[in-house]
Amino acid sequence: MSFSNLFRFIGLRHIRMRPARTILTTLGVAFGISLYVAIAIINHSTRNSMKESIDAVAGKAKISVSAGVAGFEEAKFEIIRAIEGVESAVPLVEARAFFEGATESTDGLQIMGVDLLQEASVRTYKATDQRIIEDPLSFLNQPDSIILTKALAAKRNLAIDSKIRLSTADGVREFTVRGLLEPEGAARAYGGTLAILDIDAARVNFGKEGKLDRVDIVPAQGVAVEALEKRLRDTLGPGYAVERPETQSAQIDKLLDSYQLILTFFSTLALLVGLFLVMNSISIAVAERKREIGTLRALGATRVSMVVLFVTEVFVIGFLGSALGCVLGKLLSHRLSHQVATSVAAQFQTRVEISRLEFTPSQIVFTLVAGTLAAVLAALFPALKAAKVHPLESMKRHAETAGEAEEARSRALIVLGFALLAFTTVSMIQQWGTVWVGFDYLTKGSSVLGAALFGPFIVFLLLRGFGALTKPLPLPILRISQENLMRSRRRTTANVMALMVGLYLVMLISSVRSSFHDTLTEWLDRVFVADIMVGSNGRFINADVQPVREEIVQELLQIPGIRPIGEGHGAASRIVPIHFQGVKLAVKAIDHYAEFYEYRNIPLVSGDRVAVSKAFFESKEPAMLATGSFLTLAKKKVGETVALETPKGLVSFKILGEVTDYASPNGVIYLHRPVYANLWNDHLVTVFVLSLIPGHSFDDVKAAIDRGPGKKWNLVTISSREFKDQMQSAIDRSFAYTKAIEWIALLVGLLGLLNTLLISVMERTREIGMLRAIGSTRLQVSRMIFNEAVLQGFFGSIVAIVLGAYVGKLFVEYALTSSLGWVIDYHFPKAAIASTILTGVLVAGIAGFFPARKAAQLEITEALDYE
Amino acid sequence: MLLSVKSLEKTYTRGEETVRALKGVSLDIRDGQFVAIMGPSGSGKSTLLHLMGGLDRPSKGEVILRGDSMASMSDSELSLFRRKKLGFIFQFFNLLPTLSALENVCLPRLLGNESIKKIEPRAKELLQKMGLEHRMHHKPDQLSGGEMQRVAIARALISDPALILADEPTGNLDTKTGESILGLLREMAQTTGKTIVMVTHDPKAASYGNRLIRMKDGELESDELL
Repeated sequence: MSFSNLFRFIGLRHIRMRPARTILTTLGVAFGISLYVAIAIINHSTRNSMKESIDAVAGKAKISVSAGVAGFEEAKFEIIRAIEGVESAVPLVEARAFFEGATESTDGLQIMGVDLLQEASVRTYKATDQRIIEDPLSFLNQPDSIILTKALAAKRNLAIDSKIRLSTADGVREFTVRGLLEPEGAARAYGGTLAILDIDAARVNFGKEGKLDRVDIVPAQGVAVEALEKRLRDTLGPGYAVERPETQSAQIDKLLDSYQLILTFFSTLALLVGLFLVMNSISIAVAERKREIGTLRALGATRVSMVVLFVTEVFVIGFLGSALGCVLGKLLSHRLSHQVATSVAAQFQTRVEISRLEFTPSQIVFTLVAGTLAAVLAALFPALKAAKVHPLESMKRHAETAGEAEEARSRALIVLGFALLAFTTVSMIQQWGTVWVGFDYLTKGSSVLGAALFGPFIVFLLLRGFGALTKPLPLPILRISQENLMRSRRRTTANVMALMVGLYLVMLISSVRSSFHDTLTEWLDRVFVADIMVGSNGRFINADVQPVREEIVQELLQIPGIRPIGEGHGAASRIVPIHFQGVKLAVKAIDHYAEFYEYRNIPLVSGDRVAVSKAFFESKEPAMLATGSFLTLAKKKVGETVALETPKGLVSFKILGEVTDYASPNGVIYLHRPVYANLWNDHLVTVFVLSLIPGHSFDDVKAAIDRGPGKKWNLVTISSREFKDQMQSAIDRSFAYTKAIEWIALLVGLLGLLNTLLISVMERTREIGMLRAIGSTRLQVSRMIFNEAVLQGFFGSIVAIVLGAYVGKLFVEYALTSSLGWVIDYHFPKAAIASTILTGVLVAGIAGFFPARKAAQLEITEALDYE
Repeated sequence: MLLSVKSLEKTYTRGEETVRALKGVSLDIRDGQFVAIMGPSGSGKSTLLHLMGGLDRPSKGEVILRGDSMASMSDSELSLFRRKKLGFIFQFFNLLPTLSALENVCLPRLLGNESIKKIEPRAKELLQKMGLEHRMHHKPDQLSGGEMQRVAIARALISDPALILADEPTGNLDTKTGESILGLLREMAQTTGKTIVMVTHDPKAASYGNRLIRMKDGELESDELL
């Protein structure tokens, strides 16, 4: 059997001669693939950028020693350098700095305080004027010197000798750009948002006097890295992270895995929706071309060749769609990368600068192959149906209406749909996806296919109810439309499926988004007790701000209108990431706030809030409150003790209670700030939390702060309302990328419905001709087709809402909690109901418009003669 | 003997009812015969044609074409057999709408892995004989019913089959066009020596053949040479 002739003369002709359908199906695949590609590019590039930063900063170093954000005593450097097997060791002070007036993380830059005289043994720099690196004395002699990357300078229109104003621990300081770095070596780190200061200048400006953040070590020739690591650990004791760059990379992988689960979940579903469109489209094509297949079979084509014919057609569409999807995906990745980076940064207290979006040739080839194969796989089931078409079909004038066999098959598909949804339910509750990744894909596939197969059954029930309800009303055209939909089960099912899968995905995403949004908002309303927050430049909501000196609080408390905090109370919080068992957690070191707050800032899960909080703040021994995810990680219960590594050694903390906090999905620990400051030797403050004396306005107090300590220390003052608004918009922004997914899902749904509606008008040409012959006007015919589309859109939306919300609930309560660590309460997306129905009806209306017009334009005689 | 039909039976199940469409039909057809099968609706004439063409399988009995029994053939073998040994003319023409007249004629041999260049001269010759030299590159929707059926006849001849089966070939044509098609079929039988089996319920169409088989209730009622 010649497949090439078959494809050339039959398959290719269909592709070419039915451009509308070919384009619609190809676009369906392309949109599905594009989102998958965009997310894959972003995921891959995020990992690479973060790893690249680690490698670029590490340079030739094989081991690094650090002790968290607060750093460690400078004296340790000499101890490290003296350890046997250390060839060279260079110190580093790291800090985050913000351009004056910055309110966004993107306005920040990573400060590397280095000893340029020693740097060459570990890191390389290439400056536009190499003298600054080779002869750094002139740089060192001027303490306001700063070196920027060329990329950053270009972005901010800076040149050599330009002045820049950065907020520091002591307010705003002016620096002079003395050098610009080419994007090589360490300058590649942090996406180029990097500045080099002399190590002493960095210490002074960023509150790190007498401290180091990190020492990078190159082992001597022949010294085993593992052995040197062990010696370093033994010498330094607990509280120090002795790591290799690859260990840090592995941590990044672990960190991103959980975040990327949501992205991958949505993008896989979008891809599945696209593939579903292929399946639907080919199923319809097989039904429509039944007589052609019968003729080919009668003329001697084998069953296998029929399968190959359809598969090859889909192969071409799948390949074209995948290729287009690659292009669209790359474009989409540019649009989404910033949103995703912001979202990752917010959730993990990790700065993410995606330096470049890489779409490697191997990824392109993989996408083309996988996308095409997935499309072929989706078409296999309907293609196998084509093989079953009997040669006798060639002898029939018209395709038979659904016979008993087809009815039985349709019932079997409903049962299968129900079974798939049941499987989705059990698999998500039991979290089978964590046992074997195959289950994860099966569950995702089942959720879409199950909804697609079972959904139309509910739509029929609703249509029946609608029919009974509208029976007494004088709406003949609506009644005909409703009856048409009930009568043509196969057609209605195909249409509803096409639209519903898109809307189902929209609803699922809305469920996840609203659950996040409402859970965090409720939490925020409960625990956020202050009227005013004061900090330095940066982004308040993820605590990515320039920390400031704690003494500032005294000046703030002098401002008229600020409520006194009382003896033994404070107003400061320090929020920093720490490592625990190789996982990055958030520590919230908080003062014992004034009594008028009544400990409402302590979101205790259970127990007497006041009693537990009092015990926590007044405890003589180190104590903590922790989130459930931390307790799970540490395998501890309330009442037990857990040891944390501090710069002062391993310290046992008593766990006094469990709290709810969303600062880090891996876990959040609350410590009393004096305890933290003492153990970590970190007296800096992330934010001051203050309250107004009743009767005083926020604006007046803010103006007073701005005039006084604000000006002196470069402070930013915001109200609690502003903070909450910022938080909510941050949550919305975190999920902004999901809007793109919704659009794509809707587009795929629109394309699917347009496709099936156009075909259904074609199939019904004779019926329409007959209606016109017995007296229907063109308008009535057009209204009938349009009504059908809208009815399907309306009832399809309702079912999509129910099924999408149901699977969304499963995803939020089981998959998300287990993978993210956050306990997110499911919130039904009430706001999405009206918009989903409206969108469904609108999409159906748009999709129904063209077929309705086409039906109205049919000439009676031609329509009656139609084959 | 070109075709032998031996004790052919075909039983269908329709709902709970069992229909015996053929009740043990036997007949032989020689080379060059133009056989017309007539009978009222439900007489089994179309079922017989389908079984002769290997489009369907009998419940009992067998069909032997030039010594090859179709009963023992697999589905793929039967497809190959139809492609090489049989030609079909359908009531509704069954031309593929995406192919031109010329390509439709070439179709059976295209399915057999032959290049279009190799088939084209013969296809053109056949279309010329059908008087369609000026319509070769037209699509079916640009052709009249008579023209479409002539393309279908050319398609039936392209593989030079031993037997041509025609199912109501004039059933969808007006009288005048129908007569010209029947004239073509008779001429084809006479000039090329092809064997034609045609199912019809039009006595006038049947009169174009040289043998007439009448069927009733799934059995042969009469068999006469004209």
